[in-house]
Amino acid sequence: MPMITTTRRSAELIKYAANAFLATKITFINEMADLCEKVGANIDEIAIGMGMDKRIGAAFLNAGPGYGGSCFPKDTMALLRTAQECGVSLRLVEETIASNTSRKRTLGNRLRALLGETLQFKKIAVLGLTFKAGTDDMRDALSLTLIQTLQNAGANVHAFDPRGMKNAHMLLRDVTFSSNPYECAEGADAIVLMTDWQSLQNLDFKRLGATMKRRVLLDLRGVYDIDTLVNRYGFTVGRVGHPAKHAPENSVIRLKRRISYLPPGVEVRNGLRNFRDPSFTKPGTASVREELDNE
Amino acid sequence: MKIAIIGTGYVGLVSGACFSAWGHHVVCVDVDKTRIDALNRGEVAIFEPGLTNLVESNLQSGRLQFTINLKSAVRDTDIVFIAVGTPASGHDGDADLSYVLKAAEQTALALCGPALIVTKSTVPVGSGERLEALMRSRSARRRLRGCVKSLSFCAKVRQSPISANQTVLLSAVIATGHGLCFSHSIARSLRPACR
Ligand SMILES: NC(=O)c1ccc[n+]([C@@H]2O[C@H](COP(=O)([O-])OP(=O)(O)OC[C@H]3O[C@@H](n4cnc5c(N)ncnc54)[C@H](O)[C@@H]3O)[C@@H](O)[C@H]2O)c1
Repeated sequence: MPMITTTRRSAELIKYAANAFLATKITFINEMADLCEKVGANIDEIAIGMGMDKRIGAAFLNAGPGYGGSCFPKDTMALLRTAQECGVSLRLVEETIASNTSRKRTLGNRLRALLGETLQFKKIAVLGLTFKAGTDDMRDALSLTLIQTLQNAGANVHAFDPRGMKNAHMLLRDVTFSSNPYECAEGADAIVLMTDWQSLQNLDFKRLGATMKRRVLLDLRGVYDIDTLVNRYGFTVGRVGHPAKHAPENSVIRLKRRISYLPPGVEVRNGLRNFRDPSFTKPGTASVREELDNE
Repeated sequence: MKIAIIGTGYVGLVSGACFSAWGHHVVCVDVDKTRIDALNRGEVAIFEPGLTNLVESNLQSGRLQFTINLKSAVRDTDIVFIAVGTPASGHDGDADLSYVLKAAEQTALALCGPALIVTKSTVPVGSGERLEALMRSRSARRRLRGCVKSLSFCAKVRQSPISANQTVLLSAVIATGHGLCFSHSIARSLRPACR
């Protein structure tokens, strides 16, 4: 076991530097994932390829919803404050915090884009609430931000977590907690996979799909194989770092797919204009209907 | 080795349970009476794989104790780990050191003999100096050897090899699975304490 002897000040800074570096690494791969979604590349392969380089290493290259939890958010902020107090700018850390904050606040947009319509009155099943698997720690969990966003947009949120519901109960309002993922997804318009608990990695999508109102999955942890869910179970799947793939029979979704191919300068209308995601509000005039007519 | 752990949260409880499993006598302190009462009944409120079993078995063996009485816990201990929270304060994001300062002050007032103080909480650069000054000013006997900053990640119970012979220094290194940092001066004064 390696050990170093150092000064007290260095030891104190090592802890912050290590946490800030890891937060930056996560944020980096998350931004690469966003790029993958647009250029049609596969983030999992990017991460494996990068991770094979020993200088980079494979750890903390799992693209996801962002970082949360009881350490990274507070430690990156505290490090920044230390630097500010002595007049040093840590721009990478600043950008990491900004990027992660905007990422967690726009998770709702991903779901809206996948559903192809606003979230008002939609029943959304959030599976996994803790900031990581294997804990009941809910401090600064991203699920809190996501659920708030969904509720602000008028959605009806149901949630399940194997261990975190007791703590989540104290931090959330108007959420219906379920005793298992299947009950949670009954009648839902979409499932959001928030935490990669082992028990949430082998869900029976036939069973889920049978009772859901619409078969839509937003896989924020990159757990599920998109093609299997789309082709075998008729799901529409959004997965971080992959272009969304829509179930063939889902007409609303077909509209959306068309939209993603709209040339620059074409505006999306007809029920879709509520998108706040800037990539969906391109200036122009053509409506979705016209686009379909052209198809 | 007698160890006191102040703050029985995610970090403190896991550390305490591991140290007791290695054969040390550990007293875990917290201000939260409900939590301490529950722990004394073997009820672990936080979820960490394997932790409940470890707490139960070491409670039974008598090597692990829980109390709200900081004074009795640290009075004649060899090592004190401060593992209270350092949350972001207010809106500016500074680490809130108030819990750490409070724990350090109470420790200094209660200590009767020489002891090693380890800051397990994540604290900003310069906090160790602040703590040391505070503790020296409060320590009745002025016999503090100094402070150590321990750099550590949440010790995972399942990774813990169990050996009664290990010194705390060694245990702590193994518990982290990552690096551990000690200041030179303290590492020197630490050696006799660990034998
Ligand atoms: N959570 C992690 O994975 C992790 C990892 C490494 C380091 N840390 C650091 O360790 C520290 C503790 O983290 P945590 O997650 O265990 O926090 P926590 O909130 O779970 O536990 C802190 C405990 O300290 C108690 N406490 C506060 N003041 C006290 C006092 N004066 N006397 C006795 N008890 C007191 C609180 O009641 C609480 O139970 C933080 O500084 C954190 O940054 C955390």
